[in-house]
Amino acid sequence: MKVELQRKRLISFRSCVPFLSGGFAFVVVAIILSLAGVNPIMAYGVMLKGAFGSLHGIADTLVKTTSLLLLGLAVAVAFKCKVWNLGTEGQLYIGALGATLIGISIIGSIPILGIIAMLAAGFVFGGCFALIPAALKVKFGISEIIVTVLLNFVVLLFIAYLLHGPLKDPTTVFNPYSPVIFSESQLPIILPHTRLHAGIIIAALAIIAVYVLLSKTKIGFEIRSVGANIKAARYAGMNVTKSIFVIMGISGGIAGITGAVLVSGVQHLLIEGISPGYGFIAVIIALLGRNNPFGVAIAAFFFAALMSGSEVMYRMLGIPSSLAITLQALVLIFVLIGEIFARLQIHKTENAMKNW
Amino acid sequence: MVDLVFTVSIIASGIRLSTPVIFAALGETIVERSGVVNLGIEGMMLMGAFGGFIGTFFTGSIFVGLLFAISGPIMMAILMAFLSVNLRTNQLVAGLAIWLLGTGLTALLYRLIFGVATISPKINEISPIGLPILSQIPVIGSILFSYDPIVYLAFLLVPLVHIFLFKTNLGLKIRTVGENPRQADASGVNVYRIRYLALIIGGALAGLGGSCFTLVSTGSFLENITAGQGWIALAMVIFGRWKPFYAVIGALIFGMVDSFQIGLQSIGTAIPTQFLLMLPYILPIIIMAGTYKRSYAPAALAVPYRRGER
Repeated sequence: MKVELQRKRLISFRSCVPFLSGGFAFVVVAIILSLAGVNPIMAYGVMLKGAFGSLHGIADTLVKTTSLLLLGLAVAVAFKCKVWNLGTEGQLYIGALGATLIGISIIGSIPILGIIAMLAAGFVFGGCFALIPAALKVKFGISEIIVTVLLNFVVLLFIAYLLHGPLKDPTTVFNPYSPVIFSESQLPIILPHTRLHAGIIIAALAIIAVYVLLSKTKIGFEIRSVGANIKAARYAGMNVTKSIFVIMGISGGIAGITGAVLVSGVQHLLIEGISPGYGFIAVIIALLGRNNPFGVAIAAFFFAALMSGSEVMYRMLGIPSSLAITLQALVLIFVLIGEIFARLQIHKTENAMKNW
Repeated sequence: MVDLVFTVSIIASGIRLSTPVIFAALGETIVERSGVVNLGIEGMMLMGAFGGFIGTFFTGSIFVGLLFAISGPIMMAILMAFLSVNLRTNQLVAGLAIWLLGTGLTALLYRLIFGVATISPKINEISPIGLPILSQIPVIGSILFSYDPIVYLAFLLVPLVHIFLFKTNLGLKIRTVGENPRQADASGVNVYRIRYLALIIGGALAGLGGSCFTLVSTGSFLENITAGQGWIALAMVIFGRWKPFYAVIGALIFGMVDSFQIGLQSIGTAIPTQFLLMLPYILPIIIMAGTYKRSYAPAALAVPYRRGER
């Protein structure tokens, strides 16, 4: 009875691990900041105020949550199948490209349908692009990890080419921007006088869609089976190749939708820096959220606050916003360490229970 | 004559451009031979580039710069070893964490130290040294046989790493740990210690590779200056079937393609610049797809080892 109680306490300790680890990461960065002659308490204060202190700050945090949440889901669904999609950054850009092409075409001038067509184009473009690493994995057996990372560079160059050439807005001379999409295909602002757009509703729907897909459907079951034990899944007659293609298509598709939401909701045109490295942060988010859609949502919100806070910190104190990615990487490292210790404790208790 | 000079300088610059990838791929070959995948190599290279830069900037000595260039990545390698060897976390996850840490930390520290200056601070790059006799050959000699000392070091390391891995006792231990850690353990090899050692060597080499970007090529540091070459090195290890000489062939092909596309840009072609710039990133994918066979990989690659477990 006593042991049981202790075990429960340890399991609840395990769920505290991300928060404790986050605390450690903040302490390490505080040390770096104070060595550089910056008062860390003031810096963190500005950060917190920037992320939540005003309506504008909160809206900005939620806008970033939208992108990070969608991309985090994209990475997480692939992880469920033990497929490593580190190319969400590239798929985001390809999806944004597809959405822009729709948004500036005549379809973009039709209310509602324009937005739906843009999102669909984002999904199709991003999803189809993600099939390249899937095909290379299935056909040649080469790791999707390296291929997806390298393709990110290729995509960024391709987008740069388009924006300096065929897709460049003919009315500007210098700026490598695409033309602005039709106002009918822009996502409406849901909080007046801020940048908060309806994309957050799309992100919320995506959480539910991913949850239902993975937990309630046949294909979701197959995907999870392949992820849990590929040999057993094959033995049970499941089509592993098909699962890998499907999951990469879905993962790339969600990343493409993220790009479409950024074009339709935030920028209203395609630029080179439409994503400030969201794809890399999404990997940490998926890992921290333990590939669970709701866990991903919490991690995305936390990291979005970190990002928008650190932007304000940069503007007010000149502290570089690369602080955010450092903090995020440290959180991941401390969570990895913390999880193992928690697991070891639970293990010990279970052994003690056996001997008892 | 002009064609000859052009061709020769493309080759020479290809050799120069392949140097960072050679260092990193040699290091990663040793690491993967011990059964660990280090995806953090890009982050370690960035740390090396940054360390080499600040070391040289503040002391004026290239030697201190190189010392700084390897010490940061070695610390990251120890962290990676702690995560993947002692704690047995998923090596891929640990490597990604190291990569992102290197990306964030170098950008953050650079800005904290130098502020947001509009003119980026510069250091004096290492000056090239001509090979005796060979560099005296008229016209092509001075182009083809005159490099920075760090380039010679990279090519000198290739046979050394080969001998280390395949002809020494320690190399045998590393390979056994990568193929069958349990057997290695049974015959008295300390698996943990060997993997630590391999990761530290790999980290130092990645750091040297990274330092090429700041100490040899540009003389200044930029965020993400390595531009994915750590990932290219990872691809070259696979292409090279976990053998140092083959990996270097891959790195040289990469260097030549990169130098060729830069040459094409300089003489001007109808092909848009961005498509030329894509070549170095597409090439590793193509050559991996053409040559990959799983059976060449060390058997225990990416498998954590726990003593006393079946």
